[in-house]
Order: sequence, then C-alpha cells, then structure tokens
Amino acid sequence: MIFSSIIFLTVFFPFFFILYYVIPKSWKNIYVLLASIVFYAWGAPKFIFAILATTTLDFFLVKTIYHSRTHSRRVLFLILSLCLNVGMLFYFKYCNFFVENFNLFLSTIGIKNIAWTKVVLPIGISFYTFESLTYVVDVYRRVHKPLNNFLQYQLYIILFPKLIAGPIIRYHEISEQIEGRLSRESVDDVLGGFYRFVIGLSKKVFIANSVALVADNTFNYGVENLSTQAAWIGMLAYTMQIYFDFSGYSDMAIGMGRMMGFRFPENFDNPYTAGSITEFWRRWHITLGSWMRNYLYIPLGGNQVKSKIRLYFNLWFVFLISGFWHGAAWTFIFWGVYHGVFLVLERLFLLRLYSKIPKLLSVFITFIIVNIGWVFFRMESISQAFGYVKKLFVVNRNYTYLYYDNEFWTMLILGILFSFFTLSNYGKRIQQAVFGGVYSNKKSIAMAMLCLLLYFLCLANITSSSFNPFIYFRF
Amino acid sequence: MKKIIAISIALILCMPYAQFKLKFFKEKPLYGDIQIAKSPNNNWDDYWSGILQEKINIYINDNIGFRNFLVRVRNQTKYSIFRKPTANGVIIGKENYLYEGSYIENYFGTNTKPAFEIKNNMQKALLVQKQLEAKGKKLIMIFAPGKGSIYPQYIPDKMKTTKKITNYDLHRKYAIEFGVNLIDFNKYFSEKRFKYPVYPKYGIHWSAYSCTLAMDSLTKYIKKNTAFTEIPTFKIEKYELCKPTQKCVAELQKKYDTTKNKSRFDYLDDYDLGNGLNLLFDLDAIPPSAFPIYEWNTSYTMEKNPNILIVGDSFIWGLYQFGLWRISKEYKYWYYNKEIWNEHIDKSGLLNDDIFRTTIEKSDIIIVLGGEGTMQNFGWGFYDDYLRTH
Repeated sequence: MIFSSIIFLTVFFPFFFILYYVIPKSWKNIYVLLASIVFYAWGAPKFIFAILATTTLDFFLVKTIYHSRTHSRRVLFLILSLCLNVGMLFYFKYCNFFVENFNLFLSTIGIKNIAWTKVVLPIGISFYTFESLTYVVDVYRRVHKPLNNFLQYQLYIILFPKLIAGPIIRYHEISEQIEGRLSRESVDDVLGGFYRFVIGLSKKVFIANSVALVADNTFNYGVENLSTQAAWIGMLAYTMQIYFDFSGYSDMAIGMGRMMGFRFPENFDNPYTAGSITEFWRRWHITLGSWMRNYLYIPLGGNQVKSKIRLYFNLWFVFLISGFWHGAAWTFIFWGVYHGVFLVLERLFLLRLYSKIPKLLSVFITFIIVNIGWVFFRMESISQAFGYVKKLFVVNRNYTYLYYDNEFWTMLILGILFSFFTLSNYGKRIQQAVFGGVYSNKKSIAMAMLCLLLYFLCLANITSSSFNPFIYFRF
Repeated sequence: MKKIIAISIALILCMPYAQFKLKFFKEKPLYGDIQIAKSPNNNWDDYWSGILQEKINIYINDNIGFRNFLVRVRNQTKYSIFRKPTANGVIIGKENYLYEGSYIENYFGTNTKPAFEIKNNMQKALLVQKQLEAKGKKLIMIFAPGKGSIYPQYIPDKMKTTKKITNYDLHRKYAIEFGVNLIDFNKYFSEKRFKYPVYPKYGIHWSAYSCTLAMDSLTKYIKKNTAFTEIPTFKIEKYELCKPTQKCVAELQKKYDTTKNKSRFDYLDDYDLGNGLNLLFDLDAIPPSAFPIYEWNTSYTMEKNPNILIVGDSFIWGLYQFGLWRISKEYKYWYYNKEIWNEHIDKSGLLNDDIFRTTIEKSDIIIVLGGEGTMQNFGWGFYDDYLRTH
C-alpha cells in the first residue's frame, strides 16, 4: 500500500488514526503492530511471513548475543544474525544481478549459462534489513540492552510509516519512545504530524508527479535523438522528481510517526543547497549516511586510519556500497563510485577551492555535479548514461518531439524555488515557522484549513490520474 | 481548541469513505465514455499474487465518495491555471474554441491515408452501390462538416502547419469521380454563410441549427432520388436562441411541451466538448445556440417510409434527434460499423455477419455517414464487410 494511493488516504489513514486515539494506551503498541502487519501484508502478501520469521529469529539471536558469556560465542551469533539479514538482502535483491553477470561472463568464455528463476524483490527489504542490522550490531557493541518484549521489537522493525522507504532508524533513537511516548501524547504532535504528512503528500503529488512525466519521456526518448536543450530539461526534471518524491515520502513517514507520538530523525535538509558533495551527503538521505558512517565507515577505520590512501579508499568504498544498496545494477554502483570520487577530490583539494569562491558558485557547481550523478542513477545502462551526459555538453540542435506544458514549467520552477529558498535567511525563517515549534491556536486553524485543502487537492489529483476518457468511445 | 481542530480533521477525512458506503449526497455523474470498476470477486489466489489488492484499489479509486466532485476540482484547476484540457484529445483553440485533435489533423492533412487506399475504398463503395441498386436499395454517402474546416481561424498556432491534401479531399474526389451518391455537408457548410453558427464553440458535432438544415436537405434528397416520395417533411417556425445549458434548455422544453402543442423543440448537445471537460463551472461566454422550433406535417403514414440503416460515427445522433427516425419505418444504426444501436439510441449488441446480412436485406436506404474528424477511417470496413458477406 503506498501512501499516495486512494485506499491508503481514504481508508487506512483516517480509520487507523481515529481508532489509535480512541483505544486505551495499553493497547496502542499491539494495535500499531497489527496494523503494520496488515499494511505490509496488503502490499507483499507472501513476504510478510519472511519478515516475521526473520525478525523472530533475530530477536532470539540478539538475546543470545547479549547473554553469551564468551566473546567467541558472541561473535558466532553475531555472524549468524548478520548472515541471516545480509543473506536475505543478498538473495532477494542481488542474486539476480550476480547470476546475470556471471552468466554473461560464462557466455563470453563459451560455457553454458546457469539456469535461474528471477527472484522478486520484497518491498522495503533494504530499509528494514539495515534497521535489523543496527539493532544486532548495537547490542553486540553494548550500546544498549536487547528488548525483552518481542512485540516491541517487531513493532520497531515493522512500524508501517517507515517500513517501506525509511527513514532508517537506529534502535536507540526510538527505544525510549516505544513506551515513553504514550505518556507524552499531545494534540500538538497529532496536528503537527498531520501537517507534515500533507506537506509531504503535496510534494509528491504536485511537484514530483508533474515533473516525472517529462523526466520519463526524456529518458525514454532515445539518447541519440535528444537535443542538448531537451537533455538539460529532462535531467533537471529528474533531479526535482527524485528529491520531491523521496523527501515527500520521508515527510509523510515522519508526519505519521509524529501523529503517533514518535519523533523520527530527519532524512533531508535542503540537500540542493549544499556547497560540496561532502555537505550534500549530510543533507541527502541523512539516515542512510548515518548508517553507512556508523556501521561501515567507522568499522573500516573511519578518519582514524593511518594512511591517506586508506582513508580515501574507505570513503570511496563506502559510497560504492551506498550505490549498490540503492539497486542491483552497474549504474547504481557507478553513481556511488562517482560520488565517492568527488568526496575524495574534495578531501584532496576541492573543499579548499570552494572556500575561496562565493558560496552560491560552490552551490551551483555542486548542484551540477549532483544532477549529472542522477543521470547515471536513472539510466538503464552506463553507456546510455555517458551518451546522455555527452548530449549535455556537446551542443546538438536536433528537433526533439517533447512537449512541455505550462503545468510542467510551473511545477519545475516551484520545485527549484523550494529546493533553494533556504539559501536566504527569509527562506530559513519560513521553513522554521512551518516545520519547527508549536503552532498557536490561530496558526493551527490556518494550517488545518490549508492542509485540508491540499489534502483534498492531492486526493483529486490521485483519483483523477487514471481519468482521461474520450468524450465518445471510438474504434 | 486544538482538540476540536483535530477531531474536525478526522471527521472530514472520513467523509469520502462514508459517502462511498452510505451515499448521503447524490453526485452529478461525469460526462464521457467512462468505465467504472466494479467490486472485484475476492479469492485467495488473487490475494497472494497481489491482483486482488490492485483491483480493490482501482474499485475504491473509481467509486470513492465525492470522486466526481474531486475530478471536477482537479479538471477545473488544470483548466483555469494551466489552460490544460482534461478530456482525451481535446484541444483549446483561440478565443477558447474547443477542438478534438483528429479534426485538426484531418483539416491540415497530417494523417492522410495513401491515395490508393482511399481510391480503393471508394471503388468498393461504388461496387456496393451498384449491387444495392440492383436490389432496389439506395446507398447514400454523407460527409458531415468538420470543425477544422468550419473554424480554421481558431486553431491554435502551435498546431498549424502547411495544409496538405486531406482524407476528405481524396474521399470527395474519388466519390465524385466514380459517381458514388454523395451529400457533402462539409463543403456546403464551410463555403456558405449562415445566419447562425453551424458549429458550436464548445461542441464537437454540428449545431442544432445546421443539423436541421442537413435533415431538411436529406429529406428532400430522398424524396427526389428514391421511390419514397411521401416521407414526412417539416417546417421551421423560428429559431430560439438559448445557451446550451440545462437551465435554458429546460425552459424551452417547458415552453414547447409537445404534449400540449404541435411545435417541437428538440435538444442537441451543443456543449458536449464543454461537458466533456468535466469542470466545476461552465466555460466562459457560452454563445447561445439557435434551436429550431419546427413542426412536422402529420399527414403521412409510417408505412410509406423506407427502412433506413445508417452506418457511421456520432454525427448520426444529430440527424436522429431532428427526425431521421420519423422518416424511417424501421431505423437501424451501426456505430462505427461495430456496435448496434437500437431505435432508442441505446447499445444493444455487437454486429455479426448474420445481423449484417439480414438488416441490409430489410433496408431500403443505407446511409454511410462520417464527419471530417473520422474521415481517415471512413466507412469503417462497411464496404469490405458487404462484399465479403454478399
């Protein structure tokens, strides 16, 4: 069930929350867990069993890690748990990729391919696997004790607002809130969460979905026939699409969490205002960056390694894995490597260069670098992506039969405006006013009316998205 | 206060589902060829595969409460802010004249079929005409007018291109060359000047005004060129100018209630494109349509009327509305030579070879009619089907 579907917005969302506020506090967690299971079982009916089974196994494995008396026993069960989680992720997400590439290799040396039935990817597996890993590793590292309550652990993993697309939440960030939030329930959280949810929904429905049409048409057009102008417009459209889609989804997740009293960590902080790739990764998909730092970069030595070469390798490797995490394809790996290379270059000299130029110029340069990265992220093959990038810089005046209507231009401009408006202090103040703090009664009424209007406009767009009839049927 | 706001929000969010289940309010239906999903059958196989969930999502999407209103809100927003029409194929022209894309393509000749294909089609039409004449039946080809030809000046500049030879040009050329019986209303209405608009600004078919002129011409043609000389005729008393909106039309219907007087007011939807946009509000400045107030002579008997079969596109409806059924003993209509529509303009089934043969056998006059907007497929295989089945 996706958040921007009619069934979620008109059935699950209102009735889940109404019942949530009505039932006794002692029932709320079990209710949320059951609702989350229903939510996941709706979208992935077969895989719910996999997630329930692995979380059950994990729960007991982690308890065993904690209670093990010897270090070797702790390590053994840690490895078992890691194999279970990473193994699941590897099987469902990466097996197809490795088998395909292995078969390609076998073909080139004239050996018969391995027979293989493609595996279907369970929705959200990348996110909940990483959360499971944080729990396992943090218990092993004795950052916190394991949970005694199995249902609370299940709730942490399967909590539906963040199950499908994050944010990736480390257990210790949420552990106290599982029970503690119940005594702190406030109507400000309910309203603030609702407003955040609607803002996220609006970002996705109005901006992301509108520019997505042009992005899709451009990237599917055929690189060889694209003009330079069309290539730039398409790339910019995709840059806006991916940001407003993903950050919109995060806003919806954070909003719904808040409506239940949870405070999820922020996942985006105006990433396109970054003045370097280093800064970009502190603002884009923040929880993934945090995970990579704590569970990959630091174990590899982090900044504490003795040699610069090792440091740069660590950085580059972490981003290679980041790219691979996003998808099982060479284009994602290349995208990760591309960012890794720029991170290394910044450590070498680029950051010093940026410090000597106006901030806006470094923001612009970074924005272009990020845009180009998105081309690799979006394309089906690396050669096509390179072809596309070439179109950007080698002027080509082919006539491209792509149509840009007023709605597209309006949403693209709005997207650019919202992406960069916090570069100004005025923009920062507006953001703080909307997202930060508690609203007064008057402000609450205004926000409620605005958000209800946006909500129903989003609903109107979603329900009409399949509505494009001919006036008269014709053959 | 904030609790009241929260409760109010919760209640408002439940309203669409409540309306879906309880139907508190009667909703105005949407206009157009719309397919609404029905409630799916539940079964476990579909659930495990995810198909059931998709079907339920579509069913709820199509049937959720206030959906029609929400669709209108979205359409109105797109139209008012972005000048974007939300009906398939509709184009907004200059001064807000509405077109369908195919009418513009056919006007400029950007979708013209190869000349040999059209020539071949008209040769078949002639062959069919001769075979029918041998059986005492009349085949008449009618070209209805196209909005592109009637109002080329309002076509938006971005759609203008060099005018090439068109499907209409070729059909007309070969029809005349081969001697196919032809009534060309496209030429008639585009070349002459008329007192009232022959095409409505926000409609895709000929106006009520031009329809009555066409019906009058057709009646006279049949009387002059067939054995059916005693078919009824009508006389127009006057034209009432009225916006083609519900309120105005209802007033005219009340004024000319045919249970009380002889003069007829028949309504033709001159606002079908406007309706098809499914907006919240009527379009600006709807020009009044000229609706004929007319009277049929009553001194005729249906027994002396021909059985008429008419094959064609939606331009048939205008002729039907203004009395094509009145000059027929038995009236049959095949929509695009595929769907059978009965005398009451309801779909009653799909055409098959048996029905094709038996209906033609019973018919005295067969009319093949199409507008300029569908000229690229004129005939819709009727001539091929006739030659195949006879």
